[in-house]
Amino acid sequence: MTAPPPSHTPPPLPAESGLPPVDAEMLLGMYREMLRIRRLEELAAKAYTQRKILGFCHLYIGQESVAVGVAAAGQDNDYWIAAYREHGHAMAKGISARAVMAEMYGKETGSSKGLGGSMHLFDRDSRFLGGHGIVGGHAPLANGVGWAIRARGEDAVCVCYFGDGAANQGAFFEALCLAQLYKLPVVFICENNFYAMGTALHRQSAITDMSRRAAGVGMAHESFEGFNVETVRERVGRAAAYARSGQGPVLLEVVTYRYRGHSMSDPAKYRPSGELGHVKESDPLKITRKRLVDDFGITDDQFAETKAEVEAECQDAAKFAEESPVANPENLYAYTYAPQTTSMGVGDDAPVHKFEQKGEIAVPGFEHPAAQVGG
Amino acid sequence: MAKLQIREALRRAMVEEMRRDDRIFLMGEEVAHYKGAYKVSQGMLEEFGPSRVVDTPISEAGFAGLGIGAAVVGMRPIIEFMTWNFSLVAFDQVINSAAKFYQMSGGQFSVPVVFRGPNGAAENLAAQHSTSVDSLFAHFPGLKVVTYADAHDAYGLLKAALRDDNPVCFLESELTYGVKGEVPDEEFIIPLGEANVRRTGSDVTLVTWGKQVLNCMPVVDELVKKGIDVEFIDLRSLRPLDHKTLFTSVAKTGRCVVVQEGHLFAGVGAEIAARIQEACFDHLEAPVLRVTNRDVPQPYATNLEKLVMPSPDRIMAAIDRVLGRA
Amino acid sequence: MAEIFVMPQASPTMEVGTILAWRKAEGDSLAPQDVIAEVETDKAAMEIEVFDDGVLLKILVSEGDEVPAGAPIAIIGTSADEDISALIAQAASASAAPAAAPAAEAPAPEATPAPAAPKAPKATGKVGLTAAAWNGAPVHEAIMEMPEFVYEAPEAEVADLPRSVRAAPAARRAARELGVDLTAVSGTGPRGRVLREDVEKAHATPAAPAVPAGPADEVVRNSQMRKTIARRLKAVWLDAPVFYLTARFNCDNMVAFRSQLKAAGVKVSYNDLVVKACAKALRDVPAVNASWAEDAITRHGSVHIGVAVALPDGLITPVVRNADQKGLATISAETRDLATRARDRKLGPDEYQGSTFTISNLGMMGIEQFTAIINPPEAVILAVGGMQQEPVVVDGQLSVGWRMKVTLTCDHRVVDGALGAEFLQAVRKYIETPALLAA
Repeated sequence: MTAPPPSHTPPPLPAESGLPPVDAEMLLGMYREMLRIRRLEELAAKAYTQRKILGFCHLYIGQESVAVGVAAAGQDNDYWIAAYREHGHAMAKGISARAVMAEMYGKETGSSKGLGGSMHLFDRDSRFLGGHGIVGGHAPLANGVGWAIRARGEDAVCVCYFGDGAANQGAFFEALCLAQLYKLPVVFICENNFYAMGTALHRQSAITDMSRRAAGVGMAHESFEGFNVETVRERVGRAAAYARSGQGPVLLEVVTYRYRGHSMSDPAKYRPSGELGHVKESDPLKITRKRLVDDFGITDDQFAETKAEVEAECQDAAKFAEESPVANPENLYAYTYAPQTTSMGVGDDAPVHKFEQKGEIAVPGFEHPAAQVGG
Repeated sequence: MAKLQIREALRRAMVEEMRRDDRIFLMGEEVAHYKGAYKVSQGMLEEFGPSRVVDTPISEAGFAGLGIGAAVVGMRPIIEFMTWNFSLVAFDQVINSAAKFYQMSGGQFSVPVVFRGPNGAAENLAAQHSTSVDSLFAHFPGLKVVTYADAHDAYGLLKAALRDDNPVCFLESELTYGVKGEVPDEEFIIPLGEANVRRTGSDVTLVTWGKQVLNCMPVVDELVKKGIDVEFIDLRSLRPLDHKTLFTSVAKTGRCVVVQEGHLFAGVGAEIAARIQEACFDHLEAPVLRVTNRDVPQPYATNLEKLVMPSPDRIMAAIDRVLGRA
Repeated sequence: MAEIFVMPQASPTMEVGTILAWRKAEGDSLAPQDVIAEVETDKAAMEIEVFDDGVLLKILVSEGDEVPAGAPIAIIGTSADEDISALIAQAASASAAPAAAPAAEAPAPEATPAPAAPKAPKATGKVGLTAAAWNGAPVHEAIMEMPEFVYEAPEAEVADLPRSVRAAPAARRAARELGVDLTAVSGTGPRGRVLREDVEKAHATPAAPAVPAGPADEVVRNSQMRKTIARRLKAVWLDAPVFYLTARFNCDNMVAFRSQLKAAGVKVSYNDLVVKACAKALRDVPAVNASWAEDAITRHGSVHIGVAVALPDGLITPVVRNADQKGLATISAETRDLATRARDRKLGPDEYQGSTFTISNLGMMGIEQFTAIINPPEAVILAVGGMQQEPVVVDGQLSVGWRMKVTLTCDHRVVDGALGAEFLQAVRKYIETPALLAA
């Protein structure tokens, strides 16, 4: 009687990310990026109270260090896919403040021409794949992106963002399982902000370290606090290097906190009093600002200048959104189906598409190396 | 010309396309080493290797979503559901992602994925393994839904589905994978959205698709013998629907019977009937009748299952009713 | 630059908000996400935030005040010593006037909301399918909005096939219930469709279109019935070689017989007696109860007698089935019922089809004698003239007697002269000796 092959133990993550050390310019840049996200989210909240943004609006205020840290750790040719609290991710990946704001205002100049709204920001050029509204539903798609990366021999990873709530969804588990089975270059990032809508973490899951979900599928995983953008950069850098090199996917739990409710309609009365005040001690902007002052000698003037630039850019984005034309009714039916560009020719007219470089995907073979197949 | 089993015709379509296009890969349960649960993909692992003919765990939501994610970044996956019953596990992926990705992204990312597998009842498979999902998926803009009756169409339509730049739900039939049919040796493609008038007539229009086409053929012969000039339409595409063929036929005959699997309520037949009464109102001599599965979950026992499914008697009775003879 | 801060609209249904408490005082510095007031709305108590740096310069409404959404509640500026007198005045007038609608873009799209219906192609005898379009541009073929469809059947197809009047189901039903001949109603619906109101109107004013001042021509479109009568009778007229046999019956006994029945409480008409007489005669001479076909004559097994009934615009022959087996009372009741329902257009197909012999009686209209046209595919038809008292010669003496003339039209392919005469003799036997009707 043969025993089943042993379970997979993932190799450990590298000790170092291999990223260059942070300098003043880089860190100030990350600070600026976080401030930019913070400010645009505030203006989005304002616009929402003025009913210029409608429907659902989920704000990232307080969590900026995560998206910015991951962007600093990754490459431009990485793909990102996120859930509906994705304005910050979209901006960190490269969608302009104007396009983000205009999309939320439902204008033709928005990233999805007004067809998506706050929850569905997409951008082809910056490889930002949305913007998804079904909790945990987008996780399996990240594997497909990872599959394409491997099949085409590309040097890239797919970063998949979701929250602690999504880590209870069935599709999420299936995504983890498949990612590890095929060793896909996906970095799953669970931004654990302790609340899934109004339900606290411990009331949703018996395990409160969501990275441990990975243990059930043999995936490398880590959990760390993400309030310091440099920590995020370094830790995600290690995971990205691991995934990129083909050793497999990684599930990271990044502990963070949202300062506002789940969405603009949620006054967040389910938090114990004092919790918010306490967490604001670890405001990512505060932490990085202190570091910039203490270790890099950045002056108040420089901060003021940064703040002014960010203010100008965000106010410009709001004005641009305000003044842009509404989504074009001509296009009501235009984006349901993609136009047919692939040829229907046969024989010599049939389309041929060959990859310049090909990769192999580590699909488990019929013979497991450790299996003792019966004689 | 060769006589191919339908499974061979499907395989030929996939193999031809995969040879030319590295972006295409086949993924599903038992498609590789088992050679396909219904032996459709037999031999494909040997030719294309395990990175392109991929066995999955039983995780429909997982691998359907994987296919969709791969499609949005430029691959052209074939996702096989062992049967379309199991597609319901992945329903959120197909509807909320595959069908809507292009629209939500304002046209930035298209989803050239084909979902395929056998649909509807086989024999004695009971409630959970006999579902006909055609109306569920045809309901949603953003998807295309296609089915075939014979080997010729299976090949030509799967080729079209594989070239299509939009998500296609390709509905096969477990009972007919072994049925042989003539398939030309030369490569050809049958465009999606075109129905096939298998017999022209002027007395009554009989409309169906998929496996039911084969079940209706003896009924058509019987009707012709009785002197009823029946026009027999094989729809092939449910979305897009070939309105021109359908409406022209019913305007000519004035009478229509739709035969389908799937239940009466909110089935594709209901949609067809609604469209015909709207477009052909002044040409109708009788209401459009539908012969469908009865409104019960599929029972296991053979005698009960036969009562549930559309049968020649029920089809004949419906024809008689629209002809005013019953 | 100072700005007026208005009461935000927290929910789509919120119309007013009540200030429960001010959390900031005039002169306080403000940072983004600072709560400046607590407000009660229709849904709940909510906190009002600001999202910009600034200074709260002026509070415009007090705690407890109820303010419409969009109305000014404060003035916020960048520095404490800004001159805001103009803004205060502006706010006051804005409060006095009804609050302007929140500055939301008009959501109504500029384009027509429904798919623009493309012009329907003119009726050309062709098939026209126009796919759904949006603002004049075609949409993707897999979008399943309804297309436009026009079908004009080729003329040849329409002429021969029996087609219904183009009428809505509700109109058909009204026609049935009101007894209106659908074929005579002109439709005002799309493409000439007859609507229920057309039927109701036709019912209310059944008269022919009003005759104009001068004697103009009246064009009465051929109804389906007229077309059918024309077609069938023309066919038999051209097809069947006919001859006519006339006989004069002595009806004295029939008159007496009828009186006797009447005295006994059995009301029958003379026509009922004729029907019964013919029924029995057909049993005696079955060769006449037949139909012609190229290779064989079919002698019908049953005797079904059609009795012609006049209708306002034509005629119909309801059938007394198995008349030979029915008693006089039955025949009488049935004939009356059939005639009534015939006039009400409530006959089913097997009530006006399937006769093997037809009687047409114009006696009550003062007709002495006439020849009828055969009701195909029958072999003969009996035309019954009026019964009247006439001077007669009996045993050389002049007398008065009831006499009636009948004319039998015979299709010579089936019935020769002698056979036809034989049949009439049989009929005479029963008419002149009505007691035999009961035998």
